[in-house]
Amino acid sequence: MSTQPTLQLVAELTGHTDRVWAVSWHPTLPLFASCSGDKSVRLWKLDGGNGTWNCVSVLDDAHKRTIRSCAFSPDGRLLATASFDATTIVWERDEDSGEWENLATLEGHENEVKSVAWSQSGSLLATCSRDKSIWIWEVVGDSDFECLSVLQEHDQDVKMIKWHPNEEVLASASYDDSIRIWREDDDDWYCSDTLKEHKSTVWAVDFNKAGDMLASVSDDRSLKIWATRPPKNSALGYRQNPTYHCVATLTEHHSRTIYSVAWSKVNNLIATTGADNCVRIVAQQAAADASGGYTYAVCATLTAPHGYNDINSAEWCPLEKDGHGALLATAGDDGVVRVWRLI
Amino acid sequence: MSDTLLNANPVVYDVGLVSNRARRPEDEDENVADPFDAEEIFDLIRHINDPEHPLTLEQLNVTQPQLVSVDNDRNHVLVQFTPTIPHCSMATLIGLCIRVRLLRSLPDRFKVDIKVSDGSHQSEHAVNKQLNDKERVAAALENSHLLEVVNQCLATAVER
Repeated sequence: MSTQPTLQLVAELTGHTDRVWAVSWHPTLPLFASCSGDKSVRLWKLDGGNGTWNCVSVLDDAHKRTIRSCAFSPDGRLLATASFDATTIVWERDEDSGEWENLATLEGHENEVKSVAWSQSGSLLATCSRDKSIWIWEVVGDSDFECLSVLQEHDQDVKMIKWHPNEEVLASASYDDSIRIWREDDDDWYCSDTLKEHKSTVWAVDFNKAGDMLASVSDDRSLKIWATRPPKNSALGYRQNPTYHCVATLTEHHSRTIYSVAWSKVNNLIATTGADNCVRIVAQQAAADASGGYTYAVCATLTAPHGYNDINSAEWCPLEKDGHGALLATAGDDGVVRVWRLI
Repeated sequence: MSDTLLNANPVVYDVGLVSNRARRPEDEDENVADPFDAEEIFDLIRHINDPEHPLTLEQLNVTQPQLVSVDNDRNHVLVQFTPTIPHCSMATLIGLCIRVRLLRSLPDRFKVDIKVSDGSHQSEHAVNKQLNDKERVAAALENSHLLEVVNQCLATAVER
């Protein structure tokens, strides 16, 4: 008989002095970064000896305002941080001292940078802002970043961006209630798909492991699942791409705004968090049937794991070994980061 | 702020200075859980100063007790307000002042929604969306000039 999974508290990490906006896992180590309204980033690492999580670094001398988002590069060597101070900083770990140092400061956005993400190859970085634009940066040499393209088709703030796990395809979520998919063709970045089904701000998106599906969450309190369909006129050849179609909607999935969604690349479960203080875990119930229909349902809920506070972010650990893929880190308005294990 | 007032001659309403809320015996009883009611929330925001006039939001009828609702069991507060004119460009600033006042006064357990009252503003949807987007609010409150303006409007509310 199968039983419903539960989330067990592994660690409660204090140190931030303001709300924690986001967490980002290291790609190869049991380590993650958290960023906060206190203008700092903290790095938390598992001590393999006694199993405790400890703060191993504080990066607090660079950004002048809230740090909204952070992301490790795919090789784990660099950390990018996006701030309301309109800059994105790329940090590099000095192998000798172990200290993280400011490698480059990316300027160009007119105001708050809200999200930063590395492409799977690590050669591209994307940032987005309240100025409605998305910037694609190319890593040139060891420490230079060159802006390749500025994408300005959203009508309002771009809240969040996420790269496809295997291809150079970018998804963006916006205050204009839409999701856009961006692709490159002969050095030209263009919008290949606009997904307009949410009824309010789309706060976050995440791809599944294969990248052929997408999950999105919104101020309209719903979770939507999208799946690709092959292009209709592939014979034409010009910019014919798969398109994303909504295949499932969980309405009133949270009772207030949903802020984050994370689709595990290890266990295929989807974690969502929101202003209703809850964490919900969603599982696919059955494979796609002949009609293309999918069923998704909540299989676990944490009610108020950060007390009365909004939960701004939850991220699954990407490591498959040692059962680390069952770890989920959550960040809340209480300034606390918590690590959970799905059992 | 511009030199010409958006609404140069607003209607001023006669209001009392003290709370209309009658004291009740259970208010003094430490053993009784003390739920918030709409009048208490109204008392927190009625004396906020209008950004344009040396008058309170209550005197301009921008805030009204019947536009405040509290659900103690669900930890939810809804405050609606009515700008003096439907194209009032101060609406988001007024809403931000109300939000900050409640943020600083109410227990953490409350989730607060701030909206302009139905049909009272030509950009009702846009104003409501901005006032209830926590990221927009957080960024606004890091703007020291804007925060100073908010604090000036709140000074009259905190004195009482």
